[in-house]
Amino acid sequence: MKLMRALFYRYWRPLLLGAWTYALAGLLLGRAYLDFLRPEFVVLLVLGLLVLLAFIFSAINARPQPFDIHQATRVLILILPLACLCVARGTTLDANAFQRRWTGMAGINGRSMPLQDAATDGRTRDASGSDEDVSLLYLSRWPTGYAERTIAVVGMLRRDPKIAAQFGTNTCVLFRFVMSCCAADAMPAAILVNGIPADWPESAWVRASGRFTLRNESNRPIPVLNAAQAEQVSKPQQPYLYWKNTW
Amino acid sequence: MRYPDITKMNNVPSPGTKNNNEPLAWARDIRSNAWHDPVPLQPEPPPLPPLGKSLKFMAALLALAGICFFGDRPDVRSFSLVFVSIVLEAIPFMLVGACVGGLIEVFVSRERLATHLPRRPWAMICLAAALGIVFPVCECAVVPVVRRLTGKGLPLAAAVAYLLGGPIVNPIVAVSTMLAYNMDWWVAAIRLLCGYAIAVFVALAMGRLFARRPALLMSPGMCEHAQDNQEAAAREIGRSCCGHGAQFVPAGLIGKLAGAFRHASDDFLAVAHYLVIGAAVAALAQTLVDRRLFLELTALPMVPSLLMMGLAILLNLCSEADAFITASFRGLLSLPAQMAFMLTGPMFDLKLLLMYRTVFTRRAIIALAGLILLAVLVVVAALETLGMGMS
Repeated sequence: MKLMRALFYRYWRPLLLGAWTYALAGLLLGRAYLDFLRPEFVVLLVLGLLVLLAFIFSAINARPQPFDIHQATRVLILILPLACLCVARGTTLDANAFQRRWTGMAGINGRSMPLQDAATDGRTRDASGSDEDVSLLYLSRWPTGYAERTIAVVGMLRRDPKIAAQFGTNTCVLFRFVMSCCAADAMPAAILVNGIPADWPESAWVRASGRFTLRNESNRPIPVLNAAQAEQVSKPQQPYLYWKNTW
Repeated sequence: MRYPDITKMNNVPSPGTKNNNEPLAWARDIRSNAWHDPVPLQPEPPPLPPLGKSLKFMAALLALAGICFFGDRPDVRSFSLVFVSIVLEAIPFMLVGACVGGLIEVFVSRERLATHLPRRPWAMICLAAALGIVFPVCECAVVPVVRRLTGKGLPLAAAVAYLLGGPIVNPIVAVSTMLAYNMDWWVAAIRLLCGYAIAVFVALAMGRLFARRPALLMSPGMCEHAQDNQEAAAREIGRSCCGHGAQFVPAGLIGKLAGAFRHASDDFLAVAHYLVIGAAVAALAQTLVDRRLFLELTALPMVPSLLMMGLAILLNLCSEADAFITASFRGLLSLPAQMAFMLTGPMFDLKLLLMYRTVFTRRAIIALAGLILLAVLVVVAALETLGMGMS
């Protein structure tokens, strides 16, 4: 027992740093960091991993540090994100997060797309390489380029009572989260969509195709997709969209 | 390296005096009283930890248990997702910041730092507030760096100026703000100029307010352990003020680098748990608070700005990404209200409030928080007065 205690006093810091290193390595190897961060963060995570390895070596060679209740509390607090990491893997921001974060259709500025030229056939692929036909980011932010065209789009479903009251019970929201750096700062890009079966659940991934129009509400263009076809699909490989050129 | 006499620090007894907090005190008393005391010598039981520390430990344990037992609930998963995102986003910056701090500790002497600083205080403050242009850092990385710089003798006012100015007045923030606002350089310019002005003002005020009062925890030449945990420091009597003090006289480049990483890992472990607590509170707010509620309270003058300041404090976003969140409020809130969000967050939010505890005294943190909020309010009111309406 004494030996165990002595070893723990000697090595609690390398052990703690090792747990973090293991978690970061696991995130990188399994590409699970994409659940939390945008892809470019891989560079920073690798850098962090290297620094942690250096910390471990320096902590192994350092003198034993006291381990009292103060240090024990610190260790517990620093383990907390690792426990949450296990819980959150594979989770995506869903309709509940949409409800908390959506501030309405205010992001639309009515301009044509500055980041990407509108394709002539209206079936532009997103720059992030995700698998939808038209990016919800472009549809929600710069909708004029797609007005009165037939398009297909993939997104998550949200039935909002306020939207239903304003635009009709048949209208719901199709959204995806657009990430700047991490899931904490992700904001929903959303359009309204008509013609989705009423029994489809919230947060279901849906591919809808039909005619895209702009509806004028209080001098603001509101993007609406009148879906002629809709189907439930599996979660895309990259559920998030990303702002281009922010890195 | 010269260390302060920690036996003269507040609340730390000199060796040999009777004190339950010092582990060897009972042994010394036994030795000194052995010939006079007829009672069989029994070591006193180890002292109970103070109530506050026990409560903190229990809270951390409960949080961990809660995550483990209720991890399959959707709201806990959402909370975990946001919480881990904030921590993962900040940790690389903090690790790099800690390394820079460690390198400063080992490679930059106080004398060399002093020769590179301007002699006039106002010039030093103006320079420090704009240092982010050359060394762009976010608010998570800047805290460990400033911590070490103050240990090297950087004056309080200059430290505050860099701490507040660095995360706003830097090219990465300028570019991200422009991108969020559709390449509108005007918004980015206002943000950087206002951030710089606030950093300089708060630094000057802090320098005045704490000219004769202690504000920094890391006084020049003092190792962190001494202020970080005075009881632990007391146990180090006879060695040095820190657990590895003897190894802090490195020889050669490898030895110096090893010393730098040792300092850096100490800094990281000293600051990181505050980041984790702040991230947890922010994740809780993000999971529970509906942002549209904020928009329903925006009819009164200045109220939107106050609400956005509160939101910035709650959300704990990185200064390099917060402009994208603010841009989503365009058309709903005025530009000054959006500025209130973008100026407050990088200088003062929940995680920073906790992380500042590793740099400043409690009184200094209260003054710093008050000054930042006051300065942001004044700037926002000035922008409102100038008639900057909806962006």
